[in-house]
Amino acid sequence: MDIGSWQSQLRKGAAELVLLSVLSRGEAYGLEILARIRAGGDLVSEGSLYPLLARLEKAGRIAGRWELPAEGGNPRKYYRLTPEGAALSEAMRAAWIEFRTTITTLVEDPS
Amino acid sequence: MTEPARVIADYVRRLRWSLQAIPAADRAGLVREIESHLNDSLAAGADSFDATIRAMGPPHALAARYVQEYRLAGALAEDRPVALIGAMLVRSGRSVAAFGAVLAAMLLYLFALCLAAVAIAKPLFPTHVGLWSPPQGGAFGIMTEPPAAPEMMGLWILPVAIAGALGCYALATLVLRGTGRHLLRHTGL
Repeated sequence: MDIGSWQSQLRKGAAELVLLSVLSRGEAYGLEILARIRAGGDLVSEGSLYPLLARLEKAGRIAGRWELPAEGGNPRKYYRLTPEGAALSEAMRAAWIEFRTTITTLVEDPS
Repeated sequence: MTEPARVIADYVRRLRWSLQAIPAADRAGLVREIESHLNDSLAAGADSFDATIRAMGPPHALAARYVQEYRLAGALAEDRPVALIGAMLVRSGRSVAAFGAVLAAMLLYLFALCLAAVAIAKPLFPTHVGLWSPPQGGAFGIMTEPPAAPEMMGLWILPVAIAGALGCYALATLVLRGTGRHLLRHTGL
C-alpha cells in the first residue's frame, strides 16, 4: 500500500483551504506565507505554492500587489483575500469542520 | 558572478523559457516572484538556498504546474472553443472526465457545424435541403438526390437549423466549462 501517494493527495486537497486561511490572518508575500504554513506543519512546498497563488489570483480569490521593501532588497508580491476569497475561505472552513467531525467519528472512535 | 547567483540566473532563464504558453505580461511577474524568492532564500544562508531549490523542483516541472492551472483558468475566462478543447486535452491523458468532455464537445460542435451548413445551403439549393417523410425513405439535411416524397419543412428549416446549431454550440461550451470547473475544484494543484 503506497501511503505516500495517498498522503500527497490529502495535502493537495487541503492546500487551497490552508492558503486561504493563512491569508485571512492578513496580507503576506510568498516567503511569509510559507513560514506561516510551516509554523503549523509542512503542508505546502515552494513548488506548489506559487502556481496555486497564480491560479487563485486569476480566479479573483486573492489579489496581489508589488512592493519594494523599505530596507532595500528584492521586490515582493503581497497577497490578500478579495471579498470573494474571504467568503470562500469561510465556507471552506465550515465544510472542513463538518468533514473532520465525520471522519473523526468514523475512523478514530474505538466503539 | 558567484555560484549561487549563477544557479539563480540559470533557473530563472529556464523557467521563463518553459513558461512560453503564459501571456508575456503575466509571465514576467511569475518569474520575478520566483527570482525574488530565490534571492531572499540565498540571503538566509546556503542551507536554506539548497532546500528551496530542491522544494521548487526543476524549472520545467514548476513551469508545467503553472501552465496546467493557468491554461484551464485562462481558457475558462476566454471561453473560446479551441482554447477550451486545448486545455482539456492537456488533462485528458489523466482524467476520464476530461477525455469524455472533449469527445462529447467535439461531437456537439460537429452537429452545430452540420446544422449551420443546412441553414446556409437552404437558400442556395432549396430543393436539395429539407426534411422528407418516411414512406419512401425519410431524410433530413442536404441531399444530392432528394427523395421523391414531398419536402415537409420548407423555409422553416432555416430557423430550426440555426437554433439547433446555436444550441449544440452552447451545450458543447457548457460541457467544457463545467468539466473544467469540476477538475479545477477537485484536482487541487
